[in-house]
Amino acid sequence: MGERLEILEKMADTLRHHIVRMAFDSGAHVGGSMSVVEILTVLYFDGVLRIDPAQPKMEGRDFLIFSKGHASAALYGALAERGFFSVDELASYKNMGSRLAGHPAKSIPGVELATGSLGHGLAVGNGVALAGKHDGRDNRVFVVMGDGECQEGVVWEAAMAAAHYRLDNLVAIVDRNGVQEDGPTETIMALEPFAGKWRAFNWEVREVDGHDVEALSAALHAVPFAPGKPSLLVARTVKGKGLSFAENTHTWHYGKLNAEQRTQALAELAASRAAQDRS
Amino acid sequence: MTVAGLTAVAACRLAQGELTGNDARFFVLEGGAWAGAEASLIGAAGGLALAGKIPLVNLLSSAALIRACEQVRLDLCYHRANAKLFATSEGSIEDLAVARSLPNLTVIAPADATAAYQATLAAGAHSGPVYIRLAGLAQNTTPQVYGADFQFKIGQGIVLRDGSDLTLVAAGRVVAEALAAAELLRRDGIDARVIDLHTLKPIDRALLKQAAEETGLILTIEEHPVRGGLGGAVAEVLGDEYPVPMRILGISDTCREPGGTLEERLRFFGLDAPGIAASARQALEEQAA
Repeated sequence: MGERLEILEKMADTLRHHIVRMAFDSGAHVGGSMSVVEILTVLYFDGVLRIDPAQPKMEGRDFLIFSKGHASAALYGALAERGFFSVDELASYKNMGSRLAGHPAKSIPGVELATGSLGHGLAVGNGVALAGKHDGRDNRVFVVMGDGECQEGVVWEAAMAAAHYRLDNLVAIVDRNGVQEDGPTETIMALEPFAGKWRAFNWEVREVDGHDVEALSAALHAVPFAPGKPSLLVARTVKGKGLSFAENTHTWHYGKLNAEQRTQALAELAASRAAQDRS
Repeated sequence: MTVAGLTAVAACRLAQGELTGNDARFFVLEGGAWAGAEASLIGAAGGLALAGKIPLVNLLSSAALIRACEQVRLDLCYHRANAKLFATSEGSIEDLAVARSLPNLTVIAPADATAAYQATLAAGAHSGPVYIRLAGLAQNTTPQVYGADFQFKIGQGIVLRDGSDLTLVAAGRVVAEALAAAELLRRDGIDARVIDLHTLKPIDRALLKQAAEETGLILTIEEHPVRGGLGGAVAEVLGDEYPVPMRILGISDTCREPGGTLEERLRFFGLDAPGIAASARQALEEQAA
């Protein structure tokens, strides 16, 4: 395995440790945070996003809009490790007076849009992309969405508008973990054929294993997937990835780890790191 | 700039053209082009503002504010997005109550085309989200309340006519009716003050307090349900500052739409000049009894 990929996998492991700590201390949206780890890792630590943590509002920067704001434990870990604020601050997650609220607030360095109420991100991404086109800039906007929120009408209104305005500076990434708050997406309100829906809306679509940093990296460095069209990356993921008791179940959509669960979680993360090191 | 002969919506668009012509940050989003997909439209306005633009959003009607309320609240108000919303026709009459409850949102209901033109320029110069209600003024070129020399200032109500017996406080199209009602009352020897309270938020507290102190009776007039709109806003201020008897003239708690022309509807709800004058006389009699 190449050194670059090894660094990315180590970072993914670090982010999972942060999530475990936050879920033990304060409770967190464990399932959707664990599933989005590799997506954020590649965006922030593989040179995809053109950003500068020292100047969060830098002119001409790429925008990351984190539409699935409930997975804040994953986002905060990534922002801290990327240098937007101190890693020590993660210990204040959800504490009274901390800016690291359960859902991302606009006061947090690196957070472009306050999210948490689902379905907002893609439409706002359209606006950022329209501004970029209007001003002749070459910056891009990446919108990270959950799959459950794609049941909302506004997502498809926005999908239609993005294609209509030929926003090829817009990239949406769906964390397709297949499980939402109350159960499997296909039982609650079926999304499949998911990629086909986006293609029918005139987006250029690619699908990858959302835990394969190499595949994610190749896809996200290849945007736009087609000139004149918005890009959609369906990242097929596992809800709760890395914690056997939280994987593929809605019961850990949100939860607070007890001491025993934390011990198990840390042991499982250590085991999968050891397995990666041997490979 | 004269807006004589223009509807309020046309005057507003004229002002938008001046803003976009002078400053590349302004960006017009046409609600019609977004086919009534207002949640997506307002979200895009939020994104444009995040990227440093100043979106001027022409909503198909005031119903758009209700439909996309959460996007207005989060994507615009919470972020203090520098976005301006224009309700270019009637849709949901409850828009002022909703708009007024949203943090950081400036809420304006101009009285005529001149005020609409000036309010649009003022909104462009103001930093933060603004909602301008042109409903009720959309189709007609009359009435004209203001001359070309009119100066509009956000948050500053206008005493259109002084008086000492009572105060008529109005916003939007019915300001003209309130002025006409004051003339009817004058013939009965009643001296009515008339205030155009074009900005519902932030509200002109000092002007309202002074009117309560000096006239002792307040009637509010609005093309809006009697709950939560202009009357509610005035009552909130006077309850704090200087409680006096009040009457809130507006639309009763109904979804019933009587049809007809705007003038016929105003008459139906007692919001035309004779209806306002009758309510004023009754309120004065009840106060004297």
